[in-house]
Amino acid sequence: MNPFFMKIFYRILFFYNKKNIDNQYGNLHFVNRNIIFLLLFTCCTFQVSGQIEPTNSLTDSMKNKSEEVAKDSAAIAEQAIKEDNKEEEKEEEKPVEQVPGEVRENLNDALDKATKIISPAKILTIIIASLFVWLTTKGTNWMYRSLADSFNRHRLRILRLQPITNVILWIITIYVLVLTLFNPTPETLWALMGSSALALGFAAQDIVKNIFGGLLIIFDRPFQVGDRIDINGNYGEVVRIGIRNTDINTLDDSIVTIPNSKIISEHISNANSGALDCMVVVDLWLPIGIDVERVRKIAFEAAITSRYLNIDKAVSVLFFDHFDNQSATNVKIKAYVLDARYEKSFAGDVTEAAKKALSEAGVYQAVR
Amino acid sequence: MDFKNIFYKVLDFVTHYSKLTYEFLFVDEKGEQSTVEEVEERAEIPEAYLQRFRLHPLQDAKQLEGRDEEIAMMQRAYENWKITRSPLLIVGEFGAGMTSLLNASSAIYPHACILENKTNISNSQELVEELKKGLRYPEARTLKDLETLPKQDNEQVIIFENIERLFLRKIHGFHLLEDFLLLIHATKKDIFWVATINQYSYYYLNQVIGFGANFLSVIRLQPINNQLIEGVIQERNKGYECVFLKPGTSSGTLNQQLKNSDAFAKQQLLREDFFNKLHVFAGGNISQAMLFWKRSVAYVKEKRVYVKAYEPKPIGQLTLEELFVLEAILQHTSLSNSELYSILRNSNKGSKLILEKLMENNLLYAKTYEGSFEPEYQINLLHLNAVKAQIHGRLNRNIK
Repeated sequence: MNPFFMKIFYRILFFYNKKNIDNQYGNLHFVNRNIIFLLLFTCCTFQVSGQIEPTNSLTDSMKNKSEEVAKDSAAIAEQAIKEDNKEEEKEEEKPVEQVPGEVRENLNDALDKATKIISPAKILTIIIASLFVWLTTKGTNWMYRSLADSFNRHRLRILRLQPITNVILWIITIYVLVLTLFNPTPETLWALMGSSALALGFAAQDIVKNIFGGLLIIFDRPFQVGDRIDINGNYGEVVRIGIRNTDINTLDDSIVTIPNSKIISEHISNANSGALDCMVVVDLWLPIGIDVERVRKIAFEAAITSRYLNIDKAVSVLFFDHFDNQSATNVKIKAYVLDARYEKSFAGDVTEAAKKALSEAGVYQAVR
Repeated sequence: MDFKNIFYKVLDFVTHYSKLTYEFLFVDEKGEQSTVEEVEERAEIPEAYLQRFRLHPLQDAKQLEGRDEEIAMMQRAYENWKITRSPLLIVGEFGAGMTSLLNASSAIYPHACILENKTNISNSQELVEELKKGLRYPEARTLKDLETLPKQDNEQVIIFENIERLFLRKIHGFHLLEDFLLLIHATKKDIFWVATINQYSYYYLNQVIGFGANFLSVIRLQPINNQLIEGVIQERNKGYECVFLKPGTSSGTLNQQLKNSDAFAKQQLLREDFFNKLHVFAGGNISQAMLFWKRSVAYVKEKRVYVKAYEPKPIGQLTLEELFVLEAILQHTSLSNSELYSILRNSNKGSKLILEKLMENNLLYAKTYEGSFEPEYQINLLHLNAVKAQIHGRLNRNIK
């Protein structure tokens, strides 16, 4: 085992054991334990399969292995062709035209290339690397969420890094894997891109649309994680921006998953645009002949005394008369809530307090 | 500074932040809080010694230290009033020595009358009764009567302490404060009004009703100089010899330096370390500095005081409701349970339960004033910084 990884292995093991001894109440999170074990597992797997080596030697060793496998496969294929030919000669008992040498060589070449491109070792490396990156993204997401919980004031700034980190991690992984395992020539790359584009254009255009939509959302940023947005009547907090879908947690606490391709083609209303607070409009419906001055004072004080108010921003009270079916005055209290998450609590608190005070002041009695 | 010291400082820094990161990532705070019960044991300390550090306002201007600038500003505001007729507002932190400053201002305002408000004033009648004393106008029955006050021979100076006592953060809770401000404006020609307010109430009232605009002169009490705080502590320890003990948690640098020092140098190092911790904790607040000292006194033996730096216990993550209660108390200096539930618009029992929990955690203490039926709950100065930090971080309030 490589001494460097031995060291890491022992450090992690020591750290984990020390934690268990120190923590007599078993406070170590289940998730943390699993992450440590999975890291160890991945390290060991890499070590066993001999994949952890400097990039050059990795490529060389992969090449050597692939060549050996390719040679064996070619030899077997040649042998098989020879045997087939012999059998055919025997059965037909008539002069047979020889297989041209060029065709045989071409066949051998094709087999060589195929075995070089796809080998069990490469597949295993891809699986392990993907698993490792997937775990890393889960770990970074957990870290971002923990940080956001601890530093509530900077919550949105922290959370907006989450999708960017994930995308960058995956892009780097794919890039490194392609370069180290397949090392394609520019011609191959162009040919691959062309054929993939054609295939994807027919078969997986929706997925591609979603992926490009996701990249557009992440880098163009019409909204970010933590923002409160309204798309097609779905209003709530953006909890995740993925490569294919975006998750919104609605006010009744259900997660709505919207494909990114839909989002980029819809109108989006963003209530806080990256800010922690957002404006809340509280509507009160009162009789048309109310004492405006008195109602204004009560409505204003209902807002400024609320514990959820963001006191750094101004509160305004507006009056609108309606004469549709039944005449009424719509009082709109516009104020900012200290954190967008308490939007409904704030609206409820202000409505309740205003209604109680208006009732005590005899404002509602005018309706009867 | 030699290379060795730099190395130890870097090592300290790395160890400290690694520990913080480790705790942040792997230690479940709630679990630790709920399971660890520590009984705080106070060693026997003579009452006579503790009396020296009792928190009480100074009566004599000569005893007041570190407030020369504020006194000069008060003097200037008084001179300005003679031309502009504008009242003065003094804003300060809890325990910053506001009352001591007002007592000391008798040198500038010899005829001043100080109206101290320890509890909340809930109606205009109570306010009139309070003001009648200061204005020497016993016939007054309403605030309107006080506006038409007969002119006095001397220039009158009224110091109204804790103006935040005139409001309650509820609907119709600002009337009394507004009426009082109107009275100030109506009588400012003849009376130099000086009002004081705590900085949290000022922040709130200023944002929601533009309170500060009523005062042309506003003085903010600045933190007291560290040397002066050390001087005050030394003064109060007169007759005693202080022996500094090694703190419970000490840095690698300190340990290394202690190893290589003789007894005298060790004391110097420990003293320096102790006062560094005291100044970080108190931040220029004299009351917090006194509390820190009192908490640090391990024992007193034959005119020798053994001091070991106090290490405040972390208060843990408070719930949203607890933070709202603490914020309301900060905004009003102190609150009774009935006042609190009218502010938070929840049930009487609900607010009482939260108060009890906060009392249990030593974040609040209750005090019953003369003439009031209910105890008033106040923030424990020992945890003021931690509470402020959580209100700042979790409720996004711009208080620091």
